[in-house]
Amino acid sequence: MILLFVPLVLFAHIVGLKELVQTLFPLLVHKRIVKVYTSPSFFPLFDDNSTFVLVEECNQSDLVFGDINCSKPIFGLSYRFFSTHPNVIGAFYYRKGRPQLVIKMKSYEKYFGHLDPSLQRYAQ
Amino acid sequence: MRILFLILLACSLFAQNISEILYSIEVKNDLSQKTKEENGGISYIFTRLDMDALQIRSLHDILRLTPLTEKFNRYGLFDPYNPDSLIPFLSTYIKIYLDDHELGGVLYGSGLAILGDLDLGFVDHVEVYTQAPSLEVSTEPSVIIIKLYTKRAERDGGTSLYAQKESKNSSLLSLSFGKVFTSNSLYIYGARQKKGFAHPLGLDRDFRRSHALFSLYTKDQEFLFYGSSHHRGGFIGPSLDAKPNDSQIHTKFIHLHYLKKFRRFFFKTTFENMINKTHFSESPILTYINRQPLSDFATHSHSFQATFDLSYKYENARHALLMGAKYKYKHQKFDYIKIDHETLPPGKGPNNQKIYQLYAQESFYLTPNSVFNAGIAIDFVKNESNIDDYWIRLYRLGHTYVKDNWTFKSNYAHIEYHIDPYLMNSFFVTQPDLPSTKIDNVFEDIKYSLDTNQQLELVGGYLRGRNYLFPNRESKLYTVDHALSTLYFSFQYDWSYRPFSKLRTLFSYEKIDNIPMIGSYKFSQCTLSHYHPFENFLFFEEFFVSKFDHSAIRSDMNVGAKYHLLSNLDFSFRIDNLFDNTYNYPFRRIDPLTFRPLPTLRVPYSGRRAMVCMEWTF
Repeated sequence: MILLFVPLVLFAHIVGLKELVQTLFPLLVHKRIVKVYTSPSFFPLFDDNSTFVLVEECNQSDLVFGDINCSKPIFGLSYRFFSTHPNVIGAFYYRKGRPQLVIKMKSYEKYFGHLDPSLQRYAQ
Repeated sequence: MRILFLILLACSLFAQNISEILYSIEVKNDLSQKTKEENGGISYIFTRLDMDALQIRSLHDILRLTPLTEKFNRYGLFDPYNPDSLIPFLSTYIKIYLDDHELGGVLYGSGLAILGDLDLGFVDHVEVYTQAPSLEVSTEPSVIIIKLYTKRAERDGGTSLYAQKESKNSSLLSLSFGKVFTSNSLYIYGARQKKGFAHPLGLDRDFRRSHALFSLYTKDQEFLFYGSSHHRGGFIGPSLDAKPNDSQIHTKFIHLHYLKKFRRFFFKTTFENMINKTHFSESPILTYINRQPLSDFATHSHSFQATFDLSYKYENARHALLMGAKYKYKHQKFDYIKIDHETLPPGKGPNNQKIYQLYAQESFYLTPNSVFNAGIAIDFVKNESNIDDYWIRLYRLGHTYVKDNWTFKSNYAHIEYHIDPYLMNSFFVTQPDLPSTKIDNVFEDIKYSLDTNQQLELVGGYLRGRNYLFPNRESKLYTVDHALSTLYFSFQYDWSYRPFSKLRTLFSYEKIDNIPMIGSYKFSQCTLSHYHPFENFLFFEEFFVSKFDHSAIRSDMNVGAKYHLLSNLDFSFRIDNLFDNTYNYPFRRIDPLTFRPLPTLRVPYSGRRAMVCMEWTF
């Protein structure tokens, strides 16, 4: 299921990523508690029980985190996955040495409708 | 509904912080934080964001923002310590490192000579250490270390195309590719660079460079290859009246390094090879080297350097120990030297040199906020020529104390230099056996953090050098009997006043006394650099003021902006030396028939130039 395992391992050590997903995901999904499906290497990012519930099947999730093939909305971790997979609604990746956050409006609106105005600057 | 509204409101309030969180990720994961050596000495760090925002694309752009100068010599090479002599290069005190391996020292002992105007498209961040850095930074005898850290596929994955078009017939085209597979990181870079300059008196120092880099990193191993071929106009060359007929320098250079980590041991090896071909001519018979009449001068030389370094690092709560052994082999040979198309009889060469080095450094924590540092390196220099073998030593004592917002660094260093093989038996020395230069340096560095975004730094120091190699009136190196002394201080203020915005000011002053034939020399400069975003633009401004000895104060500025059109497409423009008022470096001229002085030639490094760039990642 995991198409690209390597980027997941590399991104697991990024300082501040936990804070980003804690702030960003409730905004994206419009829910206070978000059901997330991801690979074990990312479990520590979602250990805050007041914001996240980790699910065992991708179909049970509100959002899939990582470059993982699934029919649910996916938040990707590479530009290639972001630009090729139809279910990707957004991604965090490094481009030209600097962190990037992007949201794909076409896919996002299909799953979640309106994007929070504060995230408009990241929309594509 | 009310609860849902409150949740959404709370989420919106949090959302204001998304850009700040992203900025914090950028700062906290900045690779320069991992390579920066706090106890290493005085450092000037240029992060990836700094390089991106200030559009730093060549090593020259970095030199201007540090207390160094962009001074170049009569051959058009960066050479800040050359007092306008015919010696090809005199700045061996400045070393360049690529991922902690010495780069380009194969011929002149410093990569600055051939790489001073290097395109930095493959570099992630740069650290400049001044005033005798610690053995952790380098075990080479040096006063200034410029460390370049290459890009990695983890952060620069995919393919990137960069095109730059400049005024003065200059351009740069580069292509890079990065890919992570299993746990390995592969990065490839290739570029063609062309740079043109004004041609006063028809003097040509334009250059064309093609270069490529290949790197492969695994968890515990690193392999890197760098190769370049450049062809440059040799500027004035050895001409006394600065009117050469032809002046050309061709260089082919290869650098290869490998690193293996196993537990606390590090094995590093570096190989470098350089082929250098020069040609200078003048007509009629009016070119002079050492005042010997000649009209045509051509050389072909090759140089090789191999370094093997095994080090051991141990660190616990109270100690940090570094110790190791290094072996360096240097070889230089002139394949031919032709004067007026006649090949000179073979000299004493080839010139081989073997350097055996042992080094150790101990950092001892007196208290958790006070660390004492002592280092020693001893080199045995074995010359396989008619030159005697000798020992050189390097000592370093330092203390760093941190209290609340204050940091105090006190340092003493003693450095001795060896003579590079290309100078042995050459016509650039008065005697084959020149004693080694010895430098003693003390400095105090005081830092104060006003808050997490503002920092002040004051540095003051004194440097005393004995046995300095200096060119005499015939441009032959001799050892200066008396000591040269340098007094220096600098003041820096950094302010990151909001995300992606930074103001940096640096004032530096240097006074050198007892320079032969010159006496004393003063140099002061102030640089101000600032970058800030607006919508999809990232603007920058740099302002420079400099005063060289008795010359008038000069000031100039660079401005530019980057437009972020798409997440993978940027356009940028830049104007350097907007007022065309940078310092004009003086080059003495002598009438070769009468030996009377001619009007001094004054040339700026670059002058005003404009450039537009495009970067597309796919």
